[in-house]
Amino acid sequence: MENVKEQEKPMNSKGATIFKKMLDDQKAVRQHLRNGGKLTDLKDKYKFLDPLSIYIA
Amino acid sequence: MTPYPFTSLSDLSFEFTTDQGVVYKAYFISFGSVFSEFPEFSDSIYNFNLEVFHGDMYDQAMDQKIGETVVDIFRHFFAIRQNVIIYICDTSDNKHIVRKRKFDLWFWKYSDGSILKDDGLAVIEDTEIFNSLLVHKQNIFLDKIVSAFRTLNERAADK
Repeated sequence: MENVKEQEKPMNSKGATIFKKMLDDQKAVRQHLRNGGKLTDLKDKYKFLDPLSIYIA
Repeated sequence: MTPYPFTSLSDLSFEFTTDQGVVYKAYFISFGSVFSEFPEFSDSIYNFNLEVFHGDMYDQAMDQKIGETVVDIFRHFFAIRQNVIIYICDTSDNKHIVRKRKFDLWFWKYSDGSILKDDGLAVIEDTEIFNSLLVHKQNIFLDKIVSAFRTLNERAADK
């Protein structure tokens, strides 16, 4: 009889995909800025906080 | 010591220039969608980021005014008390531990005590991701927010 050892699966955090998305978004925005882009160029892709909204509120 | 003034609030960011001429952009990206099961506070959750826009960041290691300026930005951000920050230490260049130490130092050195900081460590495959929650102590959803944040860092078998 052949022993079949169950393959160990890594114990990821429950929010692993969320944190990975945050890191991927950070990387994409950083690259955009380094290429001379502006955050306003990305406003359709990401929802940025408008600093002015803090002072208006 | 006083923080650097924000030279611009346009382009959806807080921008400041150091004495050495390095320009930083601090910005917040909404992560409300992540907490959609908590509609009472999901729209107030942001991921904080700080990027060098012009100049060389490696010349800035000893400039303590940068940390003070970041905390000053947080002070403005938390003028709206329901606002919440999740900060993640970038792992792409393997300097995430350095970033965590610096971020922790900035917070404890310059914080006025009004903000609760809760630290987490998420694991993705074999990568550790240091992350922190910053929430105003007078946020009426404080306990629920901390609980939801800690759940993200709990370990679960990969299915």
